[in-house]
Amino acid sequence: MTGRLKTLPWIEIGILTLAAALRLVLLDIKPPHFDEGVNGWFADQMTRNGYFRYDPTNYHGPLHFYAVFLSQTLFGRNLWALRLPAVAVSLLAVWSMLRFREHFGASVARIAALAMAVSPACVFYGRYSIHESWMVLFSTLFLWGALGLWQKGERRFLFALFVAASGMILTKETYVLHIGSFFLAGLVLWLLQKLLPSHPNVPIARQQWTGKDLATGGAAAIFAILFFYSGTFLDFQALSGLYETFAAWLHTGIEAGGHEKKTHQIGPLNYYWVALMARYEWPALLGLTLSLRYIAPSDARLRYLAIYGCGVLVAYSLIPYKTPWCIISIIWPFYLILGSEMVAATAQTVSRLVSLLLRFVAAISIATSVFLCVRLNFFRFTNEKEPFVYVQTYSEIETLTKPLLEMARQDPRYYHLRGQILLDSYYPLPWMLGDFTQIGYFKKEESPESYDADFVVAEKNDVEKIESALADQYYKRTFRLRDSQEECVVYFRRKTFESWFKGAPPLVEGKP
Amino acid sequence: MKCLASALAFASASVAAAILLSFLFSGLSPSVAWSAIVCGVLAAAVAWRTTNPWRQAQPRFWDWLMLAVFALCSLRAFLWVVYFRGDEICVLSPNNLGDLSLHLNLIRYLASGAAFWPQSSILSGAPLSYPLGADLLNSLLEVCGVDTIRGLVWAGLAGAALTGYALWSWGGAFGVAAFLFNGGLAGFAVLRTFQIEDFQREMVWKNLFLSMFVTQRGLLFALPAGLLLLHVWRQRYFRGGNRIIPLWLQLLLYASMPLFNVHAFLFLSFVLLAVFVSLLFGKGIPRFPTVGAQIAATPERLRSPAGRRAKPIREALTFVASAALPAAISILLVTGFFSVSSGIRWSPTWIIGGTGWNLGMLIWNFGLALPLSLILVIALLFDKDIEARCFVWAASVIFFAACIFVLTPWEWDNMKLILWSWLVIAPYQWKKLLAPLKPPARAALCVVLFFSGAVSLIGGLDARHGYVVAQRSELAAWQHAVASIAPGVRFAGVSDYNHPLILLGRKVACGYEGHLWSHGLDYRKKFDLLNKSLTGEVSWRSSAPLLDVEWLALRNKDLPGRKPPGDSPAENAFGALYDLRPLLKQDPSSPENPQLRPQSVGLFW
Repeated sequence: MTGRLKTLPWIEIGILTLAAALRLVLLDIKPPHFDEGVNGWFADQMTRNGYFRYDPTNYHGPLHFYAVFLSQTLFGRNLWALRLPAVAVSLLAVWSMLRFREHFGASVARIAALAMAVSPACVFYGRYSIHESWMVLFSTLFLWGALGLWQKGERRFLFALFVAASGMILTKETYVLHIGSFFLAGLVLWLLQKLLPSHPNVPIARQQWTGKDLATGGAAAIFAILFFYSGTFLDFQALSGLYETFAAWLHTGIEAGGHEKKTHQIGPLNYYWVALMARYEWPALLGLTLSLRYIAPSDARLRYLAIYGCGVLVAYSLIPYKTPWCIISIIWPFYLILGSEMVAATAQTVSRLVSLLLRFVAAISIATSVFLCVRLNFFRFTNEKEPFVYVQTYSEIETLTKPLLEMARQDPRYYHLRGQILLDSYYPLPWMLGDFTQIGYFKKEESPESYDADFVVAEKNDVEKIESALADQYYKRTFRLRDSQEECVVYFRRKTFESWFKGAPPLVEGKP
Repeated sequence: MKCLASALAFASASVAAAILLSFLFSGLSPSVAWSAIVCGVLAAAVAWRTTNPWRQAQPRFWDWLMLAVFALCSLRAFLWVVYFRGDEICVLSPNNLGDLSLHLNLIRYLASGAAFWPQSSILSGAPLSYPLGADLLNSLLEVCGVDTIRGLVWAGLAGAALTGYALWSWGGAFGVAAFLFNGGLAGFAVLRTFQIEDFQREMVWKNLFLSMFVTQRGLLFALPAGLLLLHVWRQRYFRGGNRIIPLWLQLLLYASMPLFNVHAFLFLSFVLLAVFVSLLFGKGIPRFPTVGAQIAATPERLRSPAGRRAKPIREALTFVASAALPAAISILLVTGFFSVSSGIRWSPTWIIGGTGWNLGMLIWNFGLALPLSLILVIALLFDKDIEARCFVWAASVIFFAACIFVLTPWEWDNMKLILWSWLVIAPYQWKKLLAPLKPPARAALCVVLFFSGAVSLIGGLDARHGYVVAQRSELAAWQHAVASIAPGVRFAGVSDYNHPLILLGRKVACGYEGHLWSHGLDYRKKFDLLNKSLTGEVSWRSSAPLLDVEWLALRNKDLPGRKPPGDSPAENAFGALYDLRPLLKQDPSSPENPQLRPQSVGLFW
């Protein structure tokens, strides 16, 4: 190997390559999730309207929508383009874990990054076009900045803190949980140190940034928040949504709307997140277990990290509304804890047996992560028995979409077919069929004026009503959109789709 | 600088290779397109290796601010350059309605494999006479499988990024601001109306970003390439620097410039002449008593190895001599082998709307930019800065010439020269006039210079609702209808800029009259013949051979003004195609005038 090649950080490159491979290979293998459909649809609205109109009742920040809009405009409306921003951010999160070498050393950062790279949750939700990976990236960056200010006091850490804080605010309303936890962790550590002093106790470094730096960073952060929330200054009224969102979020968070996990409730304690860790995320569970030891006098920075991690876990456990993707915002501090403990074990601060045992358990847990990650992401990605597979669209959706998309690809006139979709919950169809210009969507209580359409989609309950209203010959097919939803029926008009079904007899004869 | 040089080398070499290969293999094909792109990549790689690292001064607050504003404006303009809104195909800028239609036509026409040198797609019996470089680059992408609209967005964003960097390298923050916020006094109307809009839209000195950068695809290459060349010449010939980019790349960029923008080529050529003259007669060269004596001494200077400037002079001469032939070929091609009329004429009042000299109107148009430029030109008489004299005086001469002579049929096209004059003069305005002032005075002058342009820019980019170019469903129906007709076939139809066949890249007898006229094409007779045929005054049997058309495309909205040569299109269709070929085979002396059967164009359900 030449001198220049030798200096390359091969281990870091290996971890990032592994992370990229797990996130990018067969990225379009699973159909778009309900939320991805909604997010893609919002990005489509940006194209149509010329700006993003922030809706506080949607209670998610605008950043991800801008990224999806950009990706779709550059690469087209397809699953790869929809998911690429989230994948890129998920990879950046792994990279940001590697940056903790500045604070905890290279080995700790590598173990943490490896755990994140192969984490079933981080990979599964990193391959979804949702906001969660952004929150992971910005919260890791926030911690990196905070620790940097604490230990070195340099200007770059201050700027990182501003970027992270504004990024979190632009991502999701849950930023209050994270930023609040960061501050509370500081307070708790301060109190704890009064009782059990840290060892070593890292003093706060001399400030190396100026008031001008503070003003510049603050102004840039405020500008970014105003810029994105106001729809690039085209919708200033939307800025009130910055605080109005909390009313909506509070309502949804408490109401839960079917997303509470009562099966995991023991008295006031909800162990849903810990149960998920036990099922999929052994390195994080190990880290959580090991973080208990920081109650005893230990490194102040790791104590802070452990307090923060446990604080976030408790906060998310207290909120009744629980969706499994939030787990990736909870588990990442425990990867750093695990890394620190592994390195400490190697340094033989504990007995040889304990050290060996710890390393063995960690290796097993990471190997298990790899196995679970591959199984979940490449084989069981729509299996509703997997708790991470949540409100996931089934591959059967292709019964409806494949004829439409394939026919339109061959002959663009098919983009202008008339279609009626009569489902109470129809996402991700509006995004998947977003290039089609004449599709009507109807909720249960609504119905179209007539059923004279090239294709009609309805729930099986409504079959009689639909078939009595059809006035032509139709091919009839059934499919399931997702778990906990009634089976759906789609009718394709014979004269429009004859070439697709290649002369198969129509199953429904309408009443002309 | 390496990125800029490599990207421009890629564009330029790809286009040059595509033209050469298309001549050899009768048009673009996937193998030709990929080969051209490979040539571009190789040129880019060599450019990367041979470009000298150039240490630009570290950007400061105003630099960052201007570059950020430029980036945001570019993202806004090019991410929405053309987009779908349900069934509608829209553009953000009304300036782009006609221009973008023509670009779509050219891109798709070239991508369809038209034999080189192509015939004009908008006028029968004429060679293509247009700087096709930028569109050809997009055609290469299209042939390689990139969607047309996506290709336009990519090229727009890439060109904007290169332009932003090149502008900053040439003129710093002030140079970027001069391009973004050029304007006169019209925008101050916002203080009365409190309604932000493009107040300069109807004026001669429109906002350059909106009226030229977004619409003229060729500028996406010509601006960064031209500014890079100016920057390189300035460093090399006046600041004693090494060559930033190698001579072969300078030659490539300069000689291929006509393929992208002829006006930029003219301007650069004149500046090059000015550089040469400055090197000959500038400071550091022994003084001669008269101009005649100075000219007579030129050969001696070139021979003299002791002359400090002998090497740069020889270099400049070599450069011009080497570029002459390829540049001439480029010009020959884009003028359709000199088939277009230049339209050069004396028109001393066009710049103020042909209403006679009116100083107030001039100031209203150009604001403070004009008096400041005049002051600078005079100030340089007393300032011995050879570099500033060379660039400012050359740019001023071109500005003055463009004010009194019109080069093309459409006089506003002169703005393509005036744009360069302004970009070249602006940094020297800053350096010589504004920078030495105290901050409050400097700030006040900047506000007066740029306020109107900034208002126009914001107003122009806030066209939230877009402008409709076409209906997707109608385009899909026409696309399906003509799918079985060979790409080389020419159609007769109404001359609208957004006729579906034009948007689909098909050849038509006569395109939009505004394009035909402004491109200097000799179209009048054919245009009249087409219109008479469409209204039934002349039979298609006699006109079709003269117009070189085989099919007639009539839309329902063309009726009843135009008369179909048979049954009318079905009412529920978008229009119909009429096959004119049976008429062409008919005996010309036959009195019969058969009724043609329409082939309906619509959605079949």
